[in-house]
This record gives sequence, C-alpha cells and structure tokens, in this order.
Amino acid sequence: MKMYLSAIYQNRLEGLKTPPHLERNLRRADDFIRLAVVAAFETLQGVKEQNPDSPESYGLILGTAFGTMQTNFDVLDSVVTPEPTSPTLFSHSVFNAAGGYVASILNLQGSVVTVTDFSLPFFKALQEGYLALASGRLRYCLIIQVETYSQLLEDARKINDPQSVPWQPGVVCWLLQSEKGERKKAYYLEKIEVTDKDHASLSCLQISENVSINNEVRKVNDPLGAVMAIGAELQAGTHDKVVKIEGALSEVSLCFRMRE
Amino acid sequence: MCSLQSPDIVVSGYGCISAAGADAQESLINLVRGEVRNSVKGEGFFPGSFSAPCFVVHGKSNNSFLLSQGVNRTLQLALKCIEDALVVAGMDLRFLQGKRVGIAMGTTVGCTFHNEEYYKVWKSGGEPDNDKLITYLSSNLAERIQKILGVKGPRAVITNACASATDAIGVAKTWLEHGMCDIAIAGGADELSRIACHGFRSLMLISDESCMPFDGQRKGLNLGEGAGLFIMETESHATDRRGEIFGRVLGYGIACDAYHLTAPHPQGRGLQLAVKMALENGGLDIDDLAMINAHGTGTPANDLAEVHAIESLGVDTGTVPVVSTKGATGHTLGAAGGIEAVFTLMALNNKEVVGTVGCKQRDKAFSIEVLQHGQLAPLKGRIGMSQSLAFGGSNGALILEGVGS
Repeated sequence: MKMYLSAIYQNRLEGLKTPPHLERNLRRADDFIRLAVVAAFETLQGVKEQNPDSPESYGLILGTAFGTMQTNFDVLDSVVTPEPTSPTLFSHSVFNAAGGYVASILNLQGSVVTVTDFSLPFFKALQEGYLALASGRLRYCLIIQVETYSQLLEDARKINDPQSVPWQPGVVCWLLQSEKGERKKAYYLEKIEVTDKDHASLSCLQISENVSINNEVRKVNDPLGAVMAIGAELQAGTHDKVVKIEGALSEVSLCFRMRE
Repeated sequence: MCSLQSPDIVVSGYGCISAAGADAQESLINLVRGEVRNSVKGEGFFPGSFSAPCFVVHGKSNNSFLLSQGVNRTLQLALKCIEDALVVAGMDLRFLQGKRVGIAMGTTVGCTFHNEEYYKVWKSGGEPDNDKLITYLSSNLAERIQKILGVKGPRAVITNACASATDAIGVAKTWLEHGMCDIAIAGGADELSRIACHGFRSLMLISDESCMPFDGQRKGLNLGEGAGLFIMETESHATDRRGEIFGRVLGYGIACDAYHLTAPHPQGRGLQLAVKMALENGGLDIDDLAMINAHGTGTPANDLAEVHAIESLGVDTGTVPVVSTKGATGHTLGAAGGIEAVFTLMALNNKEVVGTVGCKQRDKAFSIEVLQHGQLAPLKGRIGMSQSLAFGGSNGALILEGVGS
C-alpha cells in the first residue's frame, strides 16, 4: 500500500512560535505539550478543511525517547520535598498527555497512541502509523516525535559523554495519509524497515547515527537529528529518496517515491 | 477494513499477576471468592495524613527464571507473567529464539525515571549513583524483554496511560495480521508508585475505602500493581506447531474522546466509537457479545461514562453481564487492560462470569444492569469484550472469543 507524505513540520523549541489563538489552550502546557500541539496544528493547517472526513479518520502516533521527563521530575520533586502535588502538573506528566492535548484541540477522534523507545522513536511511530493506515483504522495519521529532556539528563550526559554537545528540545511532525490528496507532487512511503540490533544502556546518551540519503552520508548526534535531516531533504526534494539510518541500537531503511 | 482477508489471531498462552493472585488460576479462584486483598497505605505513599487501600503483589513476583540483574519492579512483574504464559503456551526460550517474536507492552510508571535517591542526590548537587541511571536506560519494557528472551522482532512500548495494555494487544494483532512476526507477547505491566499515589490523590480520584465499581456509594479508585499478557500467533502458526488454542482476538478498536485530559466524555463518545470499530474489525454486531469487562475504576465519572456508552450501544445488560474486576486488583494502570483481557478470556472459556467485587448495590441512577458482588452469571455465548479508558481521552476495546461450544 502507498502511504502519502503530505506535510512536514519541524522545529526546535527556541524557534517555536505559538499561534495566538492556541495560547489560551496552552496556557498551562509544558514545553513537551506545546511543541506537539503547535507542530500538529501547523502540519494539519488547511488539510482538514480540504478533506472534511469524519474526525475519527484522523489520529496520531507520537514517539518519544524520554517523554515528559522534566515534568516527571517536577512531580517527583513535590513528592520528595514534600509539597502538595499539582493535579495539572501530574496530568501533564503522563506520557500521552501531549497526544490528548493535540486530539482535543484539533478534534482528532481516531487512534491516538504514544510509543516510547530510546532508539529512533520517530521511526517506530512511523511504522505503527503506516499500519494504522494500512489496516483502515485511520485515513490521516500525524507522526510526531517530541523531545524536551531535562537538566538532570543533561547533567548525566555530561558525566557520561563529556565531549558531547547539549541536545536541543524540538519536534518533528509528518502527515501520512492513505490517499494522495490534491497536491500535484507528493512523496509516498514505499518501504519502512526497522531492525533493532543492540540494547540501550548508557549508549543511548551517546548518539552517533549515520544517515544516508541517496548515498550521501551525514552524522547526527541527538535523538531528533536523523528525522530532522530526512525531513529537510524531503521538504526540498523532487526526486526519489532512499534512506538508511545506522545507529548503535537500530537500523532503519526507508524508500520515498515521488509521485507526479 | 482489511480484516476479511486477515488471518485469525489466536491466544496460545496467557498470564497475569496482581494482588488478586500470583498467577491466572489463583486470581480466578480469588475473584470467585470475592476476596479483596488490599492493604491500607498511608504516609510514604500518600501525602499528609491521607491513607487508602492499595493492591500490592506479594510473594511470587520475583522468582521468575527469566529474572536478571538490574531490572525494576515493573519488569519483574512482566517477566513473572511471561514465564507463566510461556508455560501455558508450551513454548521454551529455544523455540522462541528461532522465531520472529514481537513484543508489545503497555506501561505508565515503567517508562519514567522516578528513582528518588538519584533525584535527591542530583538536586543537592552531589554525584548520583550511575547504576540507577543505567537501570532506567536499560528498562524500556519491550526492549529489555527482547534482550532477556533473546528474541528479535518488532517491539513497542505503548504509553497510552490506563488503556496501554489494551492497545498493546491491538498493536500485536496488527503486527501478526501484516506478517511482521510469527509470535507476539502483548499486554502490560506496572508497579505501584508513590508518584501515581500522590498524583491520583491530587486529582481527588482515590477512595479511602476499598473501591466499589458501579456501586451507588462509590468514592473513587484504589491503585494497584501487576501484569497481564497474551501469547498470540496466527491460527495457522499455532496449528502447525500443534499448540493449544485458548481463544481468539477477534477485534480491536481505538478512538479518542478529544474532550478532556483527565475526565472521560460524559456520554463515552470515544468509547462508543472504539467499540464500534472493534466490532467492525471482527465482523461482529453488538448482539454477538456475551459479556463486557468494563474499565470500571469506581470513580463517579468513569463508571457513568461507561454506563452511558453501553446503553447507547444498545447492549441488553439483562442477558449480557457487565462486570469490573478492579475491586479485586485495584487499578493497575498500564497493566489493567492486559489483566482484564486475561480475566475476560478465562470467563469466556469457563462460560460464566463473576460479579463485580465491591459492587454491593448498583447505582440506582444507572440505566443498565451490572453484575454485582457475589453473583455468578452463565454466558449465552463465547464472545466478550474488554474495554479501557485512559487519561488523554483514549479508549480501547478488544473483542475476544473463548474456545469450545
């Protein structure tokens, strides 16, 4: 089955601009939720108007390595201090809170799933999104990765990998759909293969992945690096893209074809 | 849907562990007895002077032959459960290692780094124990299970809050239908956590008495811990290896309320949709159901939303018993859907279902019947449903079929 890639949004937290009309919805949101909602909004902009299918045909798969880690520590801090735990903070610390926010604000009533993996979580989510479309559960599926990390994690990384550059919080969001839609040109995902070859420990704090796009190789060193490199190529691309990601923990093979 | 061309997905092994019992059979015996094996936890678990019953696993959670160094309690519970399920399935590690084995596990607590000692040392500017960090980084549930079993195949940790395990079984069903693996181990596991105790208390969702799902006097939920899972394969794969079949996963549905982060849609909008999807996925009608294992946490809002959904779906609850098992297990969060799928399958195979532990007098405001504490009902058929609701507004439904006439 062909699954069409109809929109891509990616950004780092420092460059994120929240659309004014989302501010009220996000007034209590942490960075993790804010990144997910803004990315989903920007990715879907115009799509639902052009494709007025029922809300249950829209859904999302959110993949993350570290989830809402800082908010988890904020809750933990209230427990060990001890101080009263904020109910809002606690509800935002649940890993699928961002998915729930996106669904609620954008009225996505289909499958909303969060998956957690230290190794290439975007591509685990992409695989599940492909299956959600192939099985007919959804017609439009946002594939999202959000990472916000935490100061504790950054300190641990410095100890275990002193030479490394700090990871920057960010988000990537793709819209995958089972029909081509109105666009004259669109990539479709012809193949996705994910192979896990080793198991995480401290190695997932020392990311070094080779991303090959049509045999041009670049090295990335953070959990969003591989998918952001691929996203940039696809946004600018006009030709087929054969992609291979080689990391210490997993390998991913992807083939995107351009359909005129 | 492509279910018409999809292979039948069977359950060839199952296991569960919770406060109700150290394995599936013991749990069933205690369910029938209506036993409530919780203990009151106070300071340390809950803030201030508040105390409430919690359902803690005692005894056999740490004696699995699969256990290895540096695994957290969530993994211990999962591994004990996997060991039991493999015994039921007649599979050993050598057999598994020759197959493509998918691991789909749901959890909520199990994916977080909540080591208090590490956090306190870090916060005070000290040098925390790196081993604790390594334990966290080595504890992705699906990944670590793959490593311990020595198997390769697709993996997913589903962190969909309280519907995680239901969705994990749905994910595994999809993998098998698309030929991504030969065998799948799918369900969920979660340990009791101080963070969850404090958090649910802050949301005013905890009852300070034993929980009473669907009862007119219900005050909230009790937290618990445990694990529950299926060994799943295609029917042809099970038949070829002459494995015993204990049931089928006929349908799976998932839908989102798109309503509120922590409260269900009052009419159970997403739940209704998930049930309809699951029925369509299995090529079934609502009249094909012989029982419903509800999420039934015992909170006023959850139980009412489920009642509205069940009524709107047109279930004849006079002949289709509706039950909850959380009065015997507590709410085990990411494990709940797995434990309840196992209970549902056992009920279907026994052709009778046990009433809702803790429900002494059904809420008179409810428009549907609920099978109450101490009651036992024969089932009119062998197809039943287990449903889950979650924070984030997610709803999952599994349609299961028992074996036998």
